[in-house]
Amino acid sequence: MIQLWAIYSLTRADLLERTRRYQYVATIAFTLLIGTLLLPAKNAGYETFLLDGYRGIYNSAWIGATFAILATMMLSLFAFYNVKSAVERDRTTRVGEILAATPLARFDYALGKALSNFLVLGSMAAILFVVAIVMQFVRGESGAFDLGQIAAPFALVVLPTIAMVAAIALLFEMIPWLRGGLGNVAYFFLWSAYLVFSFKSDGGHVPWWRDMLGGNLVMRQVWAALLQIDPRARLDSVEIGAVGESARRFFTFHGFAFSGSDVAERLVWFAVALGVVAVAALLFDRFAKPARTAENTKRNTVVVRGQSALARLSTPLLDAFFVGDFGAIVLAELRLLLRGLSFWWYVVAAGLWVFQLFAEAKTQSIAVGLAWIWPVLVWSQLGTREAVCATEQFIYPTLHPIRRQFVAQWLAGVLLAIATAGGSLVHWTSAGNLGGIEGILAGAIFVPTLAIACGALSGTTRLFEIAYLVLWYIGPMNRTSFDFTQSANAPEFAAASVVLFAMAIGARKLRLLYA
Amino acid sequence: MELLIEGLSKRYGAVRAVRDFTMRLEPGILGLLGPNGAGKSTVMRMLATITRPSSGTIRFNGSDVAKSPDELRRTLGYLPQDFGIYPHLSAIEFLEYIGALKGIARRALRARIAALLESLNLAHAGSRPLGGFSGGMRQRVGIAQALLNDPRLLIVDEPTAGLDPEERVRFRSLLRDMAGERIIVLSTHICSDVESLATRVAIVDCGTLLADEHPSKLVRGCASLEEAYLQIVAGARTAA
Repeated sequence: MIQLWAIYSLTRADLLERTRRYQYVATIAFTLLIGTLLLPAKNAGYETFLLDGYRGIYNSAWIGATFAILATMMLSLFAFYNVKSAVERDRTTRVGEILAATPLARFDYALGKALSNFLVLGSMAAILFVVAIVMQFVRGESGAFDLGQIAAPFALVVLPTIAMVAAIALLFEMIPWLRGGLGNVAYFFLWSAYLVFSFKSDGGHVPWWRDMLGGNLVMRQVWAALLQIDPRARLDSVEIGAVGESARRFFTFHGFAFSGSDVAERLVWFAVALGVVAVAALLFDRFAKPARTAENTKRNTVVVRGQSALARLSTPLLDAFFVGDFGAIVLAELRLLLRGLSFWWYVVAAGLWVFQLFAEAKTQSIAVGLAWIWPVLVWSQLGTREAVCATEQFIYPTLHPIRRQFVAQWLAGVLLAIATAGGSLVHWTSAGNLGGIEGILAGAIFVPTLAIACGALSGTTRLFEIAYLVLWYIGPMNRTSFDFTQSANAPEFAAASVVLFAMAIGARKLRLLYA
Repeated sequence: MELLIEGLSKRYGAVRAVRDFTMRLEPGILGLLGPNGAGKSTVMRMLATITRPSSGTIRFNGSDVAKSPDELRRTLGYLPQDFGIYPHLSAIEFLEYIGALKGIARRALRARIAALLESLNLAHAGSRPLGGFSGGMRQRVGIAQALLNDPRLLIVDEPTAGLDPEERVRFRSLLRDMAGERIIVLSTHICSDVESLATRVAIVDCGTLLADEHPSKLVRGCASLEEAYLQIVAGARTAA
């Protein structure tokens, strides 16, 4: 009884602490906004869910299918980053030390935190569920409302997914090298790979362990309904988020009929999630390392590194203020940015540099893309280091902290981008292709500007890490109009850089005012 | 009730934070004095079952703490030197949370929280978010959480840091009242706190126990405990 009371109290306190932060209110507002965009009007200029050009009439069954598919994808990717902070909060606030001295069992702690993760994700799912119902009436394509057809896919698809995400986020927090930015990057690639792994283009059934997100469960039934009206429909043509397109054909999806085995296959994921929580509990170190020597807590590692680096650099920084040498500050910021990188980091960067040099013109975009994914954790420090290292009190009272230090920090990021894409610059220069150079330079300005804007706005490295990974994947890797390394897109990305830079400056000014 | 520490050592890589620490504690107040980085907090973290010793044992009433830490944890109150709070919880919510984790039943917990907030002069602020508390008020919330389970062993690391003189006097009298049947380990830099409270004083430097005496014995021949402390530490460093 006491044990349940302890787990309940832990979940409750964690949930209250999270939901009372302004970030949670912003997340809920964002979820609400996204929810309304998931069901576009006929002339909206984009579609969210198309099957070989077909879109279902907006009845309850189709809305249930669309929201279940999109919610399971969004909550399993973006919301993972939102909830992956339950244990980190106890480390950084140092409440963990107090908890560690109580008789609370490791599993009880892990279960309480996972339940809190689940409830936060569940609140987002609940918002989407309500929006799904409202949107049927807003769009008004079908008057026949069937709550069960919206609720059933939500319950069967989304709830097991968020149980797994809640548990995996906790597991990542318990594994030292997955706690920080590396874990954020690793999860994005694991998630992408699993998505491909779980997709079966012939409309068939995939084993339960290949369908954690529940997409196949929904798609099987939707595909079967589509094949009844068009036996020649291409099942491998699934578009999730098609910008600039409209549905060419419409059909009526009459609804889901889930079998007992469908339900059982989804329920298994709750048991798997519990197993993941148990593994996380085994790996839980009970905050055994004192904060200053917790080598695995990135925040604390950076504190020590940042402070010592700053101390070593204090003399050149002071000189720079007096003699007006802005270059010295840029150099100091560059050294801070690169401090702590291993020898192997430079070896890989050099290898990617050589790859750009010899890559053919048509693969340059991918070569630069690879070179610019490597420093993602370096760029993510931009705009956040002062908050993460708690050096704000030293930096903010210095002479012109925005014009000098903040701009110097941004410039250090730009220099890093230019240096890591140097192979491609040499390639385009030797080929006499000014357009190629223009594309690289626009990208080299855009990426660090995005980083410093995300950092200054959020105060954490996470926003940039996920935003950049998504953009990098749909841009340079898929060579879409979001490819920030292409000269054709340079004007748009240059304009975006200006806007982002203004936002970064504005955010830093606010920090200076209210620090 | 006794706490037996035998040959306790802790290494962090090549750094030996605590070396061969041995002492036997009985009800009373032990004042732990030492310069920054002397190893006091490491000793306290090991006593609080947070950090595992590299070698040596801690026995609480005969039971090995490393093997069965929960026995000690049930009756432990711990106030770390640097601790945090959840800024969006109120003091009552935070204390209810910690109390539940300590295994205190709901009804008893509410009464205990009310009594502690009253005695620590926080009753008026119990429902306010902790994020708006001053440093001294947060410190008192930290003290309250340590006392929630009416601990038999109370470990307090720099408890009066951030308290104003009035609150310091109030806390000292609270500790004195509690001392009777409890073991209290108090680490501080403020010699006057130790002098007025402790029944024993242990002086630590470079992870080594240099002295373990009644304050009056330590002060003998010196003008104050502070002078005695400085002499002992300087003597040990010269000898090393």
